[in-house]
Amino acid sequence: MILDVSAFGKMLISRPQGREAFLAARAYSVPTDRHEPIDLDFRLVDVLTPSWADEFLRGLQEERGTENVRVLPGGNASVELALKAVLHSPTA
Amino acid sequence: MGNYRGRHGATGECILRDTRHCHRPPGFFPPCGRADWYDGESGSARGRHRRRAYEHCFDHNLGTWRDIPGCWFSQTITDTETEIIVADRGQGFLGSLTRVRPDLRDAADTLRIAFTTQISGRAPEQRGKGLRFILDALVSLPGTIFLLHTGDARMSFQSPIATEEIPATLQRMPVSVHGTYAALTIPRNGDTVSPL
Repeated sequence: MILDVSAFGKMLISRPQGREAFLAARAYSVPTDRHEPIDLDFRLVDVLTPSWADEFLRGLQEERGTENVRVLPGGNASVELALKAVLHSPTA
Repeated sequence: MGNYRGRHGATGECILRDTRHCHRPPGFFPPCGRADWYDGESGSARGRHRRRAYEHCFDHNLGTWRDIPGCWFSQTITDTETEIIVADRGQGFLGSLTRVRPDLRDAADTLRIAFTTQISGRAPEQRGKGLRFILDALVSLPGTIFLLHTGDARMSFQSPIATEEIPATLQRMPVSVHGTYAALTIPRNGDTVSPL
């Protein structure tokens, strides 16, 4: 499924908000089948910080497997930089 | 939801942080008292008690809003009573609980389950005790009026009432609320207030 991340807000900042978004997505937004791939669409997000992205992406990846959580291309400079920091970090 | 309004007329304001200007969601509520529209990203300098009143709108609808993200919050204080209204255009009780209870079929049945058992749409998080806590608190405040409407189901009562009698106040209404609407009226100084 494709998940429009802007449904969680257009300004995605702070680690607590990212964690809360992951928990809400796990409960209501993502498929109950943990093996179904998720494509994250950040194109409508205005601001994304590495802290928010880390909590959200890491939560999904830990629960569903890295191979089942993908990021669709697109997004502004803020999104690109934040995702680059998170996805290319050895601790992410 | 536009049929609802507070019982005390006054000017109101709505806030959306994204646009940084006053904004009233079209067709949602008429002006009805001191009120704010919260989108969940606003810096909350309005007191922790307010945050507690509306935070569950976000807990259960973040990422799944029908159309307008956020919630309506209004508080009106008069000489005789305090009225608080919280409403949202989220998935409602039925939408929230069907993933953990796929057997639920209608809003009235869902409300009954929500108020009589420990259940939460946020499972596997260990939550779902809040509604019983609310009921226990409300029935201890004489004269308090509580109304909750979600989908086509409405629960309304005035204390004193035994907690066990509250599910019997459930009604199916001809008007459906797309989300959840809750109104609480607490008399001041022990005065009773007129029914909603």
